[in-house]
Amino acid sequence: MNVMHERHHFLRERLERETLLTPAVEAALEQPWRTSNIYVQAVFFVLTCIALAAFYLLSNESGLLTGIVALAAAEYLIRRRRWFFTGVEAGLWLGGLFALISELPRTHTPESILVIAAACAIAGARVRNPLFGAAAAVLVAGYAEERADLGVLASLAIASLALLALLRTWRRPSTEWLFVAIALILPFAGRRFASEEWRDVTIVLYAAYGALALYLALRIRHHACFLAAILGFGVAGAVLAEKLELIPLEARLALAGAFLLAIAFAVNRALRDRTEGFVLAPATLTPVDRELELAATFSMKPETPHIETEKSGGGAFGGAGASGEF
Amino acid sequence: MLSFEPELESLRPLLGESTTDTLLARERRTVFSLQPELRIIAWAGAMLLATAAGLVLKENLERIGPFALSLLIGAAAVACYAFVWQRRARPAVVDDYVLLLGALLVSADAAFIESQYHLFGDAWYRHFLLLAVVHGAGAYAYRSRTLLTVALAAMAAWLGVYGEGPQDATELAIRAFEAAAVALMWRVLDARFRFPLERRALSPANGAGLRDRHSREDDFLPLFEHFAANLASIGAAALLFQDHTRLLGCLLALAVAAVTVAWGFRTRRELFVLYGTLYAFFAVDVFLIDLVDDEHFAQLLIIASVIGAIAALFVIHAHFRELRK
Repeated sequence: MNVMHERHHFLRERLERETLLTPAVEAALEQPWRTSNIYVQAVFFVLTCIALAAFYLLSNESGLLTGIVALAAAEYLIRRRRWFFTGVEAGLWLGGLFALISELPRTHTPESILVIAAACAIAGARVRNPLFGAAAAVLVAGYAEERADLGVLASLAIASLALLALLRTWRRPSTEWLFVAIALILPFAGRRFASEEWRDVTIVLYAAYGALALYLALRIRHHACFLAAILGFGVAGAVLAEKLELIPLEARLALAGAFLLAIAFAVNRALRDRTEGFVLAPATLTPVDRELELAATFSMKPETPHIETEKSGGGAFGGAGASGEF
Repeated sequence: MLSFEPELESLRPLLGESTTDTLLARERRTVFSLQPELRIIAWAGAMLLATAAGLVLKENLERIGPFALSLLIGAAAVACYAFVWQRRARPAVVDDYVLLLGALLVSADAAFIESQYHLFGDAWYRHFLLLAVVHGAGAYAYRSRTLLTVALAAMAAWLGVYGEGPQDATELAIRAFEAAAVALMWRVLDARFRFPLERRALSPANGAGLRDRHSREDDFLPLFEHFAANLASIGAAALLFQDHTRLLGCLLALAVAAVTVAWGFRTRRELFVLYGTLYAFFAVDVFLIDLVDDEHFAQLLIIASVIGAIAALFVIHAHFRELRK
C-alpha cells in the first residue's frame, strides 16, 4: 500500500467516525485496497492464527511448510487480492515467520529473543502493523534485561526515542502509530523488568520519562505524549508508593486516588469554558474508547477483600464492584 | 506528527467551509481536547479510591467496628451522588467518575453490611438484586451508562452468572438465559417508557446541561442488547461442553446466533452480525469435532471454518459499507 493510499485509508476511517464520509468524499479519497475496521481486523487476526495453528498440526508440525504456505498466502492476498489492514495478512505474516523460526535449533540463549524480535519487526514492516513493531521493541528490551540487567533503561531509552520521533511529521500514519505504540507499550514492559534493588533508579527514570513526555506534550500537543506522561508519572508514583511501607496500603491508595481526582478537577475547572488551545470538547483516542472504559472497569473493579468474622456466612461476591469473599 | 491538512484542504468543496475549518483547527492543534486524558486520570482516581475503601473495610473492622465502618463508606457514597446531583445543570467530564466511585462504594458497603449483619440470611445473594435496583435507579436519575452497566452486572451476579458461579454448565446456561431475558425485558420497558419521561424532564431551566449529557450517555438500548446477546450466546456455548447437552447447545447457539444476526441486519449494526457469525461457527465446529472425533478432521474443519467465517464476514462487511453510503 503506497503512502497516498494509506493516508486515504486512515482519513476515511476518521471521517467515517465523525459521520462525514459521504460517497463524494469517499470517491475523492480513493484507494483500491480491501481493508477492515479495527474490530474486524482483530477478529480476522485471531481467526487466522487459529487456522494457521491447525495447519501446523495438520502438517505434522512442519514449521517450514506452514511458514512457506502462510507467507505465500499472505503475499497472494496482498499482491493479487489487494488485502491490506484486514488482519488476515498480518496473521499470516507473523504466524508464518514464527512457524519458520520453530524449525531453527533451540539454543536457549538470550540471542534467540532477538530472532523473535526480528520476525516481529519484519512482519510489522511488511504489513505496516505498529503493534508488531512495538512487540519487537519489547523483545529487544527483554534481551537487554537478559544480557545486561538493563531492561528498564533499554525500555525507557527506546520509548524516549519514539517520543522524540513524534516531533517529526510523518507521511505514513502507520509510522506515526508505530512510535505511539512504542512510547506507550515499552514503559509498561519496562516496569516488569524493574527489580527491588534498583527501586530508586526506577523512580528517577520513570519520572524523567514522564517529564520528557509532558514537555513534548505541551510543546507539540499530542495525545500519545500526554498518555506517556501519565504512564511515566504513574509508574514512578506506584514504585514510590511501594517504598512507603510505613503508611498503610489503603492510605496510599486513597491519597493517590484523591490526588488524581484533584488533578482532574483542577484541569476541568481551568479548561471548561475555553474554546481555543487546550479545551475539553468531546474527543476520543480510539473508535472504542467507551467500550474499553467499561471493560476496564469490570476487569479491574476493586475487590472487597476477604473478611473473617465469627458469624461469617454467605459466599463469594462478584459483580457491580461488590466482589470478594466473606 | 501526522497531519492530514493537504487532504482536508482538497476536500473543502465537499466538506464545506465550517466543517473543514474545524477539522483543520484540530490538525493544526490550535484546538486540542484534553478530554480523553482527563477521563483516564479521573477513572484511575475513582478506581484507586474504591480499592482503598475495600481495604479500609477489611483492615479496620476490629478497630472501628462494623456499624461505624458501614456508615462511613455509606456517607462517602452519598456524598459522591449528592456532589454530582447538585452539579447536574452544568455537568463536567469528571462527574461521571465521581458517580462511578459512589456506585462502587455502595456495592462494597452493601456486601460488607450483608457479611456482617446477614440481613438476607441464607439468601445472601439477594443483596445483588438490591444493588441492581439501586444502580439501575441511579442510571436513570443520572442518565449514566456506566451505572447501567454496573446495574446489569449486579443483576447477572444475582442470577449467578457472574461472581459465585453455578456448579455445572446446565445451571450456568439456565442462569445466563434468565439474565438475558431480564435484560431484554428491561430494554423493552426502557424503550417504551423512558423517552416520554425524559422529554418532560428537559425543562428550559436545566435543558442545556441535560442535553449535553444526553448526547453522550443517552442511549441505553445498545447496552441491553449487547448484554443479552452475549449472555445468551455464552449460555448456549456452555452447553456445548457437556456430552449430554452438546446437541441442544449447538441448536440453541445457532438459534441465538440467527436472532443476533437478524437483529444486526435489522438495526444496521455490524457488531451483532459479527457476534452471531462467530458464535455460529464456533458451535458447529465444537459439535462436529466431537461427533467425528478424528484429529485430522478437526484440524481440517478448523481451517475450513476459519476461511468460511472470514469470507462470510468480508461479504457482510462490504454489505454494511454499502448500507452506510
